[in-house]
Amino acid sequence: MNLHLLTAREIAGRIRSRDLTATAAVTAALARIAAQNGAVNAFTTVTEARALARAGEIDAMIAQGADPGPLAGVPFAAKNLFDVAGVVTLAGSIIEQRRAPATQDGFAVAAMERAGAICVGCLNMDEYAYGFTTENTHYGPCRNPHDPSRVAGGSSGGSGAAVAAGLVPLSLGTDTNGSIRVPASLNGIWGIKPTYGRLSRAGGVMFVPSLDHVGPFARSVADLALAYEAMQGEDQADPAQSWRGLDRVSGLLDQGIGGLRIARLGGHFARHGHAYVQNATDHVAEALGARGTVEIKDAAAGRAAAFLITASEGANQHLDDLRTQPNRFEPLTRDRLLAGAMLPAQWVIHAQRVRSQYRQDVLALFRHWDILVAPATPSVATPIGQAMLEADGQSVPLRPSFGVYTQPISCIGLPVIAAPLQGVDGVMPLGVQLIAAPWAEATLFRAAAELERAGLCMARVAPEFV
Amino acid sequence: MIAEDFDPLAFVTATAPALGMRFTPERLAELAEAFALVMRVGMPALTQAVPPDAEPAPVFVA
Repeated sequence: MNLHLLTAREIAGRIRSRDLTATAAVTAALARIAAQNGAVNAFTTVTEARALARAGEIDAMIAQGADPGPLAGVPFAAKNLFDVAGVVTLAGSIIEQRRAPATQDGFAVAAMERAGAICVGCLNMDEYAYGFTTENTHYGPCRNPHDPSRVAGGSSGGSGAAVAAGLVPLSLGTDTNGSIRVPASLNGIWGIKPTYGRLSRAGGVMFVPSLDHVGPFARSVADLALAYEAMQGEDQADPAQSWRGLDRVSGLLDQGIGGLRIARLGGHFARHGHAYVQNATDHVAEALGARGTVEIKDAAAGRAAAFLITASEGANQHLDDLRTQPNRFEPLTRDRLLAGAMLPAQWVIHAQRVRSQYRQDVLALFRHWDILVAPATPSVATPIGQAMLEADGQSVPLRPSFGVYTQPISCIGLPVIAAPLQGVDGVMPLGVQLIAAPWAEATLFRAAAELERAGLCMARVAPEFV
Repeated sequence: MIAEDFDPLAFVTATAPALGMRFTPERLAELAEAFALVMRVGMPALTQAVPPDAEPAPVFVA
């Protein structure tokens, strides 16, 4: 049985019906990680003993007639900035190796396990989540399963690669400026960045608290919905959470998109990327029956505001270490953090005002539209080590540019699903953003399911890993 | 907001000690380059006019 090709829903179904044990599912996942991880460098820690112990508990619950939850026995892994009990929370850095192992799971990891899922390890990422490529100098670059010479995206690169390589059916990541949507796009899988404040971020290393989100990756919309539901729950430990009760979406996937007002984003979102990026976005918009193209006024200013806020707030998180041990930081981003530490306060406050005004302008669009369609990345995955991106007649620094389409959306906390298309340039996958008003994730899941049913957007294990 | 004769190297040289940081002249030149990049990418926000009542609070409810 090729368990690595099954969805989370299929694995849980077999375990709940006693066709498969959780121990067998976890053992198979651990064996696959041992055999295949070297090709993608997605895992930094494998939690074998813990996972097998938890699998034994799940099997015992089933033997006793108890319900372990909708993700019964499903292996998953978490970006290594989430606390996992017994593991040092690295956040992609070597500085954090000084920390004691976490004594308890972060909220999202614990929530997944409450739903029956089993954590099998921790995943590679850009140091402190500052990056879009996971070319981590300390732990090695994460490689794209569709072409291991290319990047897996970032900062949740390990989370994207682990799912696309079939090492796990589900993974957890974070998204500050695009760190779920960029790796979802480049690895050709589904990812959701929920509304800012929807999911608790407590129990992990933050990057930019006023912009940080958590969310899952999956190879099917139904799996994405299950993980999104599992990660919910009220948590006083995250001061930014705005608890609104459980958002159940799994039952809505068959509803279709009737009545939804859908538009394609133009302007900023129709520039900057390769032609195939724009073509893929057009195809998704057409498949959803988009009724026009609209522009987000000042999207470039919104993106720039996010960039300044990120540099400043992110640097403040690490100011002591920047002062005392700067040479232990990731060389690719150290100087950007140091520059961020030096930004004048008036620039950053002005950026916050720009963000507030921009948010008001964008929210007004949702009086007329339910879903906005936009590219996720300006290109498919690029070769590891490439420094410049050639697109739309321009040559720009690659590493900050992968967020050109994602930053203007996340900086105002809108929910987004990244929907994957395969082989858009003839070989590599690419994602398209489905964007909704705050707290309208259910609308996004309906559209995502429609695209999956139509066969236009789908995720799969990369061919070399089948 | 930014004067035409703004000099990133002079700025980072003056600012580093205020943060308790000391750098060699070579590192200051590299940091000035990084600062200039951040400033360049951030420029669309820095040159954007906002109404006086635009909220400056960093945390918001979406």
